Amino acid sequence: MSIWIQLPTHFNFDDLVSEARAGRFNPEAFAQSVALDMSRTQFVGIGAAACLKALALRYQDGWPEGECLAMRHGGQDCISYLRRMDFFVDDIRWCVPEEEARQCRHDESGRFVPLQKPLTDHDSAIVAKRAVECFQGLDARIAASLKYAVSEIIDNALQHAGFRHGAVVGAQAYPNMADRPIDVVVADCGIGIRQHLSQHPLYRSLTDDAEALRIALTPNVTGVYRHRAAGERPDPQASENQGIGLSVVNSLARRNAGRLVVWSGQAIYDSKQGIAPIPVAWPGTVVFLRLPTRLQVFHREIVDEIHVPRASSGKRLGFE
Amino acid sequence: MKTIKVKDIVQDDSVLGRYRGGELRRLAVEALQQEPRVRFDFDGILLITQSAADEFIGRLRRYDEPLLDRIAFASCSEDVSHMLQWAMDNAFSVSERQAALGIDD
Repeated sequence: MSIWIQLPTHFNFDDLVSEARAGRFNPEAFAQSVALDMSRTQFVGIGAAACLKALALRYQDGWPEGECLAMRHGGQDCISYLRRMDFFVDDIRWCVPEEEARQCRHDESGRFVPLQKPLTDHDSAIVAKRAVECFQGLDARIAASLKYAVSEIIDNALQHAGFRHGAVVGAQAYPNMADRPIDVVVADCGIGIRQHLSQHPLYRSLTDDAEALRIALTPNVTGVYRHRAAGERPDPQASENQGIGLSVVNSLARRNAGRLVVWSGQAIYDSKQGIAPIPVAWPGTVVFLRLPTRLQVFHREIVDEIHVPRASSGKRLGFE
Repeated sequence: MKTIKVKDIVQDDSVLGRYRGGELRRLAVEALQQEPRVRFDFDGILLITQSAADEFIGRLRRYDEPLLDRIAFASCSEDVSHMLQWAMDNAFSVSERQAALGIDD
């Protein structure tokens, strides 16, 4: 017997978060056999679609054998949109006939990229490139900074989350809005930021998701660590990367009047509001990024500001 | 000296992500087992991300620094050379930061 989850009339990423804050949408509900009631829903955004898909992927293995994800809807426009976004295909057991799922596929160029499911590190660059190319005619310098940001957040999910299905990525361009933004969502149902950081000996005692988010947004923090034998002293130099990816993306969003939202466990960061607790946990990490395509500050300037080596050898690479 | 054309490897104008950076590092190590020097030709590459540069250059500096003296970098745009050098200079910035915070064990 499935539990029906009633989705609201308007359901974009912000609506999903508002519903979660109010306790009306709980990702953990997907642990049981659920069915989506979208009969009242008129609009679904790319962020909410990516999140729903990630949750279904995460939990469907635990559903009773033969169960599929049912949906109640009235064939409204948002259902056509979800079909175009490849919401109903891939490896989720939807109770939606395949021919019905296919009927609304059309040319994707110009505005959006259907939901992607990068699985390995190798897929990260391909999906990042595709996401940015949904906005055609961008200045090369702006396209490079967008690609930089999108690649970093996808890379983070694939490198650190440990989600069996990789990540679910969606991108949508809004060329008619004032600052012509692009929205990118990367949703995984992996180990989450706190658990990732706690792999590093320095953060092993971390118990608070909000504190984990604060640390993750700080430059030069990483949970990637080359483990030593049991009993040996941890070596800070064994940190295996620089841990600046998320902080650069955050600065890029903030300084260009964009927005970064990161929800992991029971804490959520919004670049417009800061870090706050949230009553229901996201089982993994969701990153929502909105960047205008009229950037004033580029990734290189931001990376430069983090450039504070005190023990640099001063050695130049062999540039010809 | 063997020349590796980066654009042929990544099939794009950008080197994005750790996987690609690791691929370049592996090619460098492999080539330097056969040859005294190797050249990476970045012609046509507009962007390399920090994570890719760290996986390529930063990791070599952390674990195999002498190899870096045997690698030449050709046809780098200003942005690309800047990011590669950044990765070189910042290879130990995590440990520096931890030391600054008084965290060393």
